[in-house]
Amino acid sequence: MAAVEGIQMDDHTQMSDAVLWRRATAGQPDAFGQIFDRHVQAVYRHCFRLSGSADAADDLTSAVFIEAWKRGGDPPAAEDGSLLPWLLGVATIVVRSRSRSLWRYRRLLHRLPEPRPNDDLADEVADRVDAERQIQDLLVLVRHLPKHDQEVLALCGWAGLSYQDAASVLGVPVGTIRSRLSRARAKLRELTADRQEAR
Amino acid sequence: MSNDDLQPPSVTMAPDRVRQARADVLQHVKNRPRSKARRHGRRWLIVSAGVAAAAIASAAAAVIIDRPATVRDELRCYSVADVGDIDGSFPGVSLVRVGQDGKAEDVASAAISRCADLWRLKMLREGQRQPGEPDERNPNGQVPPLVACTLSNGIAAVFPGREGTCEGLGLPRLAK
Repeated sequence: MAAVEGIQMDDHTQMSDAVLWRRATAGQPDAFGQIFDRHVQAVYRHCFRLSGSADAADDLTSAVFIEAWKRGGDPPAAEDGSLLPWLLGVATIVVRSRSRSLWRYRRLLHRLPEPRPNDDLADEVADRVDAERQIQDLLVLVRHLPKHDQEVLALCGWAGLSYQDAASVLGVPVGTIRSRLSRARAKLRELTADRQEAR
Repeated sequence: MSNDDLQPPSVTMAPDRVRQARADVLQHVKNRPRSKARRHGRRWLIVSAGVAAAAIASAAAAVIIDRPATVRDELRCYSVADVGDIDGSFPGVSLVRVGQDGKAEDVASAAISRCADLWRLKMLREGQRQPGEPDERNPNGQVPPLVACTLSNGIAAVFPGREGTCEGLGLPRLAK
């Protein structure tokens, strides 16, 4: 808590997402910035895993936060006040919607990155290419699963959401989350075994 | 977490891209405060009946006034002369609006030029309502006649069409 001229200033870092959201909707954009800072990397990873593309994930990440803001209302927070499960749910929708194309175009035309030292850029590009190769290899298997099972795998298996939070995000009973995840894992085991045999 | 999940690679968004994304998002939040959006919606509901009545009474005279765009960070390029859901999905592509930094220029011409770029890049095809991959669209990069209008939410929008298209859609032309 910081004080300026005797006035107690709010410290956004100590507030739950739910409180920050209310502050943001009351006209404090910086509160939304704090939510962004907390969850940008988790949202980015989720977008990357679903899209299989680092470039797409860059653009989708912005789109997710803007879409979340546009949806507005009183978003469902987890028990600890976190909006991350909800944001990942929004990300899931954004990735499978046209927003992907839309934001890719925005970037293509108007979002050329600022120039950076060549060595840094080369390292980053190499890392991104390597990660993309790995995720695309994995997605070849995962895309054999039904769409709903893929989403549960990404939310629970990869992003680490609880069954309860995933159920809330996807609007289905907890039992459905359990059965989808169980089915997804069984199918992945089968696919992995098939792949190893083929090699 | 389980090994059965075949863990994906760990990745992080690069710091410069995070900064850019944060700036984009917060600019949007500042430009579109939730309370303002709700007020706008209510106002629109109240006046819509009057606007509709005026349009029916005299379609030609319904909207003849040019209007500037009040939303300065977005430009919409439509593939169909159909407004769609102005606050949701629409048949086209949204761009960051540029060229509004105080330079004296024809805003409408600049908007049309920017959208024409999208047509030339094969990202739009006339009549297409669902976006696809760029190589699936408008294979020859043909640019149809375009007109610039202003949506009721203050966003500049460029539609395929000719003089009279804005009026036909019940929209003012984008002021120069």
